[in-house]
Amino acid sequence: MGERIWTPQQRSAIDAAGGTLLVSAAAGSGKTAVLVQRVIEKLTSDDPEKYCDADRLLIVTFTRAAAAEMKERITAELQKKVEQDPWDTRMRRQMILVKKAPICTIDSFCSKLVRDNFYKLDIAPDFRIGDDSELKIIQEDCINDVLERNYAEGDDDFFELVEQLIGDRNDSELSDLIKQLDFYIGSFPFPEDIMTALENAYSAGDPTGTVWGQSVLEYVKKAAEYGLACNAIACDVSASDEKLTEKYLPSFERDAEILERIRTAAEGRQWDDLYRCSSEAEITPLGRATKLPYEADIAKAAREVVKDVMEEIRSAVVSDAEEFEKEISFTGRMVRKLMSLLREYYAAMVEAKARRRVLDFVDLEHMAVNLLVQRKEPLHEGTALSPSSDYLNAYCKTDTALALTQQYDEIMLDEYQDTNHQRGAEPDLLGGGAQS
Amino acid sequence: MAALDIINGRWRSEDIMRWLKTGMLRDVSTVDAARLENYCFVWSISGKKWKQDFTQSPYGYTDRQTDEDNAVLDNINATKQCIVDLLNTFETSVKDENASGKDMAAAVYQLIESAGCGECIERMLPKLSPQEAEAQGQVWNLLMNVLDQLANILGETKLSFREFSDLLTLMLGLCDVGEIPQGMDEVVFGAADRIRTSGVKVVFVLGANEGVFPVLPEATGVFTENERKMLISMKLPLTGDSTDTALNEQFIAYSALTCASDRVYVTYSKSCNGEQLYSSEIVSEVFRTVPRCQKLSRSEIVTLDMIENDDAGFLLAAASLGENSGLSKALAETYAGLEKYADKIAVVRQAASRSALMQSKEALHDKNAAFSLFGRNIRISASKAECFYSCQFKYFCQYGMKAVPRRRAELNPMEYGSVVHYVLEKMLRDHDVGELAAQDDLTEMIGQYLTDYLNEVMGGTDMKSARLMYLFRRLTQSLSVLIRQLGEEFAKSLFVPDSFELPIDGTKLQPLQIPLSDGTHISVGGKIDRVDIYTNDGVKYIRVVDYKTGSKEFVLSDILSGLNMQMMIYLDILCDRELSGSDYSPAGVIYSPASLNKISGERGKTSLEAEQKERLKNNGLIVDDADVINAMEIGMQKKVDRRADATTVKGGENFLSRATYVADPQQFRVIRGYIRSLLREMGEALHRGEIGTSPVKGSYDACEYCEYRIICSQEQKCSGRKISKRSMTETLELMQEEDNG
Repeated sequence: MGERIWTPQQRSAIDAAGGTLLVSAAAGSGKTAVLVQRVIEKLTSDDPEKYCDADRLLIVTFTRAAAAEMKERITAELQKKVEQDPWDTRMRRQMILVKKAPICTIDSFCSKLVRDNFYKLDIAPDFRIGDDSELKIIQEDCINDVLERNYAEGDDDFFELVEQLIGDRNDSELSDLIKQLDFYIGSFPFPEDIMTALENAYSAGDPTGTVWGQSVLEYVKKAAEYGLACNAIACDVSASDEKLTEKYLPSFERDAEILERIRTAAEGRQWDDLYRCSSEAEITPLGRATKLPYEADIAKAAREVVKDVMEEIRSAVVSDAEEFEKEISFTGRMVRKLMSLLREYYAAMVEAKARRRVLDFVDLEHMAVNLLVQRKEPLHEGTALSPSSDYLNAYCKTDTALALTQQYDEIMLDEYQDTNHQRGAEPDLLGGGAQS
Repeated sequence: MAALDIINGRWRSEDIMRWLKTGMLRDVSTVDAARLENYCFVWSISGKKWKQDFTQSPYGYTDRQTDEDNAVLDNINATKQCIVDLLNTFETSVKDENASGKDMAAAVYQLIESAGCGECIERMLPKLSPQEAEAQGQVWNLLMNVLDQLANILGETKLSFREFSDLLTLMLGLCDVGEIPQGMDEVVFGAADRIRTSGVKVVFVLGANEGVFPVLPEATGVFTENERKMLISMKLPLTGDSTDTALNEQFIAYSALTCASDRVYVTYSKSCNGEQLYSSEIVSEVFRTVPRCQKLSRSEIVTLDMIENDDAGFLLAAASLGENSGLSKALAETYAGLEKYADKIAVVRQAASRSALMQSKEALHDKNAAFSLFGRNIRISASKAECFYSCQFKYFCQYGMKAVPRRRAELNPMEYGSVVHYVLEKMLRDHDVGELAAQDDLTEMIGQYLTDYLNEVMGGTDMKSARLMYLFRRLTQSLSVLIRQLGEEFAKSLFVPDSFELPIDGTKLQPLQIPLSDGTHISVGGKIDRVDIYTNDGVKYIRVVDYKTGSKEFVLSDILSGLNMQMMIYLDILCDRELSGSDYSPAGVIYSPASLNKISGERGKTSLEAEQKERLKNNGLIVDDADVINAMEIGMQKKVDRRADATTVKGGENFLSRATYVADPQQFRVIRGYIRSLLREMGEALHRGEIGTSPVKGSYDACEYCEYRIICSQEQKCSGRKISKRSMTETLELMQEEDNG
């Protein structure tokens, strides 16, 4: 195989220095090759600015096989250099360093980080990763314990929640829901934030003050605008014909009026007005007529859309403000109860796992995140629900992270696309140190 | 260790079982332990419950307890008492506030002693190889040493039992059970860093895998890699950082590879537990330095070379059995001829052909085996017949082998069904059905029946969890909806309930008996949920009612595959003068839904109550007689639905859904004849010993919830018998054809 010729784009990705670099390209276009080349050039560079020791690069891959392959490719390249000049002690040293270089999966990175810092996390240093079936049993036990306790001494909210959720044969719906929530919430770097945000999302009040009310308003406004646009077409078309002007136009103009009222109410955040307008809105049938021009079809088609839009709006605004508030406050009570069950469940899980000295990968990731970042200020009341909220603003690096940053000159990630919120947070938080 | 966990974990059953299963308890046999474990599983025993007497039936919820059951229960209690005594003594001494480390070590020894561990080991010794026995001895001494050390070091120090357990665990964890390297002729085995490298002729390097050999240096111990580096840079006398270790490892690898004077073999594995493994740099280095060295992979090694002795050859014979090669055949033949191996190879052969066997029709060649498993004169219930026709292998497992999975005593769908049956029976028997719907105190009445059930079948409130009790009490809601619906239904019907949970066991009703070709017979019995009667002009019309707690609907064409026959069989029996002793005229079979499912609907558009009523509508198969149809529900008539190719009902169908089939007496006879022939065929098949997997698949999948999936392990491969929904006319035509042909 001859020397590979890099495209200018690839070349610039290999050479780029300073700051964060995102290489995004189609499958098979050589992203990994670029990454390897970049590493090689750094390891073998004569330029002291560019040169770095192999163990000062943190390279995270998606699978263990990929990590091993990456290591092999780098070693092979270094090997070539050594063969060219057997007395190049610097290259020989690099070869040894590569062996222990942190080229690994995110899981093993987290695992090592947690193991190194066990004393900060208040966990046993000799933990192991539980296998799936074992963890399932622990999970099942914990859920059962929590539910049993609540059945025995739970409050009214608990029983109300049970009645809301379960069918008449058993309460598997409830435990399934807890499992689902655990899975969903566990994929965020800061589960507690999400849970608090979920609870806050239902703090009762005027509908327009809740995220749900706001999104309804937003939606209705847009829908009404769309309806108006279609209505305008219908009106224009009808106005061009005498017969249509007589038969259709009045209905269309009434439609426009209704839609406009709805739009204004939504824009002005007048919930009760909006509810009244949309629930009272009535589409009057079109006047009957024969021998209409072909434009009539266009007008009718546009009218159909307007009808649909009205129907959509009606199904979005289902109650007046008072009713809305009542429902939100009820849902809020249920959500808060659910979250408190979830917290009990988490506490039980932590205890059960600690007793067995077992952790799972999700734990490792959470612990790693907690080691690396801390919250600048506590989450304040009423924070809106936004899963992808800006971590970098709300959180800052811990001393551990700062110390870790000193260890690495550069962090490289392969296959960044297949990550979740959780994982996405980690590199951001590690980087930004020396040279990133 | 398990015993320590028991105390620390507040008597969790899991830990107790772990302790029992060590086999280190003199007075507890494996059978005792297994019985105890089953009891704990069924009744979810844990924690405090261990200290009470066990009083429930070992077999879960049941309304009767035989002497045999009581004997088993006594046995379980004795076992339990034995271990609880041991543990109680142990717990008291270690949980004592004044207990010192020395006392605790003594208590552990005491427990080992009183449990009879020593004797257990001695009993075990003769069965072990010398090396294993040696290792056992080592472990024993080791444990004793550790306890001694703990006692000496801790002395009078006071500490919590948890701390003591952690210490003991830690110390045992640090112990190595080493075996003195075995010299076999002049072959020496050893780890690369321990072997002597002088004067070696041939070296085998095993496991030259990435990260395994040479070892990937990893910081262990108190200091992390970076701390170590920092300390070294501060000139503290610390052994080298991981760079040094890496270099050292390389040296070890180098010396291992170069110490042989004649030959070097290097091996590495390609995968482990399904994960791909990579060769280490040794391999690439070897190829680079010695480009002409030979590379072999497992698949390329000539198989004959692997047969070094009888056993190795046998393994190969077993592995290659069934392959269509000369070698495989030769091996199989050779071993079949060797006295020592003949039996073994036969077993392997049987196992290998197992999957083929499952599919085949003739599975049990021994007719007597079939007789003793299924009976010469076969007596079954109607539901067993349906089981047989859903899958013969399932029938074999469940009713032939009687392999029944353990069931927890909990409120599961099966238990739910029993409760519903119980309450409905009492309710309809004890009260005027026409007035049920109007009863004010329905809830209280149901509550009373539930309490009765709890006491009669579930063993009272004793040891019941709050969760179970809540869920159980909650059934009142569903039951009152069901009963109200039933009440309304009877108010509009001319049928009246006549009998409940009526057994067909030879007392009042005789089982249906069908002669088989070999002179034996198959007889079908069962239990009818409810029988309703309508009398007109002296004719007694009878309908058979089944409470359906599952969600499966009644489809007439299922009978073609042998499913949904149960009700028709019962109707057949009732209308047969010789079997029932009465003159009844068939009115039909009714499937009555007896569970409420969750309803999802749109706000303002769905009426919960109406939807619920809709779902509780009965369906079934009724006779084409205007008068009878009207009696089912006043105002109802027959309706011919040409599009669906079926005859159904219309008008007043508040309680009987449109999915009901209407058939004339002739058609009833066709169905009856068809079912009888299916039953006959079943009897013949059982006597032929057929137990192949034959699940029905299609509109209903017999494998979906099958508890024997693991045993048959055919799920993926097996396409099963097709079952599909057909129209009524088509179904009847097919049955007729079968009858004529």
